Amino acid sequence: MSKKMKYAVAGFFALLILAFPLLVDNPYIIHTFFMVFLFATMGLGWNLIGGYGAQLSLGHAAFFAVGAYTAVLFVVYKSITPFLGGVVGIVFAVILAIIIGLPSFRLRGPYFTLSTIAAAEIVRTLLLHFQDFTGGANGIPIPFKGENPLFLQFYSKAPYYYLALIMLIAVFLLLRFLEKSKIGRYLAAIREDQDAAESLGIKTHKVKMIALIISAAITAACGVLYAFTVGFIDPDSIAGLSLSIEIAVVVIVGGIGTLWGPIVGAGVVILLTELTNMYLGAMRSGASLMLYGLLLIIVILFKPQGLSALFRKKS
Amino acid sequence: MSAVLEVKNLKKSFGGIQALKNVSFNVEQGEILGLIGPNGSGKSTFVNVVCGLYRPDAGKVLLKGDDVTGLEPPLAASRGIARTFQSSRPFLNLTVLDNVIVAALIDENRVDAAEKIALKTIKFTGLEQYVNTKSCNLPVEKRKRLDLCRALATKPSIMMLDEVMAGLNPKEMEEGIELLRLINQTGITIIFIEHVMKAVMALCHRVVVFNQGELLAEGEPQIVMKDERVVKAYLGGSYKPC
Amino acid sequence: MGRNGLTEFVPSRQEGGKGVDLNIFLQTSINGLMIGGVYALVAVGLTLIYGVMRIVNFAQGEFVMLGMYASWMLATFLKIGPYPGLFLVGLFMLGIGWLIFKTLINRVVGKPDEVAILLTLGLSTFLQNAILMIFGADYLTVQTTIKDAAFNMAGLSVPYARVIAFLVALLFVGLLSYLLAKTDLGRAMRASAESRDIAILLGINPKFIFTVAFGIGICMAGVAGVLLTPMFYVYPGIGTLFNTTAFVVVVLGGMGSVPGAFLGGLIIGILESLTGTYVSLDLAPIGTFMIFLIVLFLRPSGLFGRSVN
Repeated sequence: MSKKMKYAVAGFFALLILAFPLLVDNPYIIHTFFMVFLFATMGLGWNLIGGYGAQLSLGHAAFFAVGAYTAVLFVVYKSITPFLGGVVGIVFAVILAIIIGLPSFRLRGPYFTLSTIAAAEIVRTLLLHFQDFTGGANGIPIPFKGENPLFLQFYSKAPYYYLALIMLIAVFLLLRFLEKSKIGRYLAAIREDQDAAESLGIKTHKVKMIALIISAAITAACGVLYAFTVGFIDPDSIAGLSLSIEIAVVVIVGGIGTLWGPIVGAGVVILLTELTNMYLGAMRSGASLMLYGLLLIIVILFKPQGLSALFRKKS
Repeated sequence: MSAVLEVKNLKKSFGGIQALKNVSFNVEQGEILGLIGPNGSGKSTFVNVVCGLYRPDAGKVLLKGDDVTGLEPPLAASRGIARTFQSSRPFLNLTVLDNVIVAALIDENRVDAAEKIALKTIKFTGLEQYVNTKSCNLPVEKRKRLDLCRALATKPSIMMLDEVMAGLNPKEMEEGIELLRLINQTGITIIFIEHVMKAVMALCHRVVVFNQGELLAEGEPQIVMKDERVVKAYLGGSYKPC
Repeated sequence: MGRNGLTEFVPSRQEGGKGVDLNIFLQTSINGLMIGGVYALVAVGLTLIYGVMRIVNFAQGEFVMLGMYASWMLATFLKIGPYPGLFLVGLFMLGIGWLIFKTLINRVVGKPDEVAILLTLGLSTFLQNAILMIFGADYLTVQTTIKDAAFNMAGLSVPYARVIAFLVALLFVGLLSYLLAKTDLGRAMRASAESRDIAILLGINPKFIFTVAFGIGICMAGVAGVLLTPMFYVYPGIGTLFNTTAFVVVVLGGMGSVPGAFLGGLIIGILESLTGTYVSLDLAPIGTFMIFLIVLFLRPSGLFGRSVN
């Protein structure tokens, strides 16, 4: 395909994506694409520490939940806009990231992964425990009082679609910049050979921490957007291990450590999930999660670089 | 000449084994110091202690008068202590250029400035034709050169090279010796752990001999190599000069 | 229903602050010790697998769950109770372990830790949801003849089910320790844990050793599951609980150390029980995680493990 052709095709798809909500009326389909964008964004965020940094986190749901709950609680209790509440949520998520990273980056092996799981479980347990404040296992609904952009309340699904798309593009550009920046190069070096990296003056703990902080911030922001799009949050859905696994699966299936990997992965995984749910009706959550498990096994065994490796021309 | 590195009473043991017993010596600014001795005599441990991979149990390491004892590797590197590893360790999935840029970023925050330094250093070490080659595709000899190039790009005061000549054929070794001379001429002090005596004789101004964690002898290579104690250490005591 | 599906009576928090009542303290501690034995069993299996072949088995909890479902099926369809059926389930789990090792685990031995983590994570997710789809989300129970019966003495009430679980767990760990210390196979496993390369040089066939070790590890998880059925509801998600606990225990005890996992299991069991009674029932897991994070901070190699840096 000639370069002109490629630009034309890309341009066509870009236009399609932008105009999509105007062409399609079905809120369910628009929401599905919303989820694709959201998971792609979260995947990109996870990839920073999990792919480029080679530190497997299975606790990203903690950041998601911290962002979501903070923003929601600010609205419900103080009527403060999620644009502010979300920023506070991001700050909390960053603090949590520092708490997790400080002890575990010193260690090798699976300790970091286990720490992230522990952290997420602590968050989830605390959210369940303080039920008078957080609603406990029953969760918190966001009362809909009419259209209000400042509080991310819209009748139609379209604005959420565009918000998620904007976030995805922003994070994508951020990551593209980081990849070639000092931090990105240092991360790559650490991933390749941590000892050699240190001998060249790289403060590996500091670099990994920065990656984790950015990753946590991105994930928390996604949590805020999700909460207001869906209008309801509860600890088991958004602070549970399943969500953390889903985020990781999206990236691994798509191609860990690559820029397009999370996007490809999100598309594939979310689409497959929806198809599975459609055909296996009543067994909803079981079917899609079983699929995640299977996908993970297959990718790890047969194509560890993920699906986007198939699209790459040279190795 | 002033001492760029001063080592005082360095001790290090692992479990019950004393790898470094009580090592003291100085390295003069601008010299190439050979660090020789039989296997297991503590040479690699010494390098690892100086560059921060291990903390010494006792003793001090001074770099240009500043105490750098026990500084972690990244900090030691930013102070000017560079090292290469026994088997070459390039960042395999990165190109030669990207490898060296990582090193050059030690003093730079801007990638474009680091790239300029990297390109200069790559040229200096004779790797221009491999600039965009992935380092996993390099032959062993070029990988070792890349290790040197990377270490050089961190603007060190002192470079510690761990058996960099091992596995090279005579021609490659000549080229290596020439490169090390060039590096030394820019003012960088080199500590040179080597088993290949030819290279030691050709390059080193002075030589320091380790044996069983202790300093056995010190001085000019030709003199030290004839020292009876040194010969005995290498051959295990059964050698008798005729 | 008590915390996390516990079906039997759990002593409630003392009103008005920390209980000075020695009885409550002892009761809680003993309950914790008993369940700690089962935690130890699961953790020992996990640590054995890691020690011998350096595989982090994230699906260990799911094999506990499988053991529970196997026990339930025996009880429901063949009228064989958990204790009589223990041997059968154990054999079944050995077979499952062999199968899983051959098809999945064998392919990732020797690869970086993350690969095994992700693979077993996928397996865990798959198993949990496959069971969900087959059996549904219902909370199942297994009836036993000794249900709710307990030893009563000195004001303490210790359910038979717990005591049996503790003793059988003790037995299995003891058998494994004997195997490791006194038999050729066990020595081979220990050699393999110390150094793969040396083991190969000594003529030990790693693949066989690994298969056996993995099988044993899985079997222990399954047996633990059987022992737990009289005390816990059986549902697809129950594996996750034991998985996390097992990992905390293994880190506490030192990865790869069997005595460490055993001791760690007992400690965690008691601590968790005490947290549940004296702080709050639903905050009990936090106590466990706090211990985990503290261990990581202060002594990552755990009680008996080797240095981690």
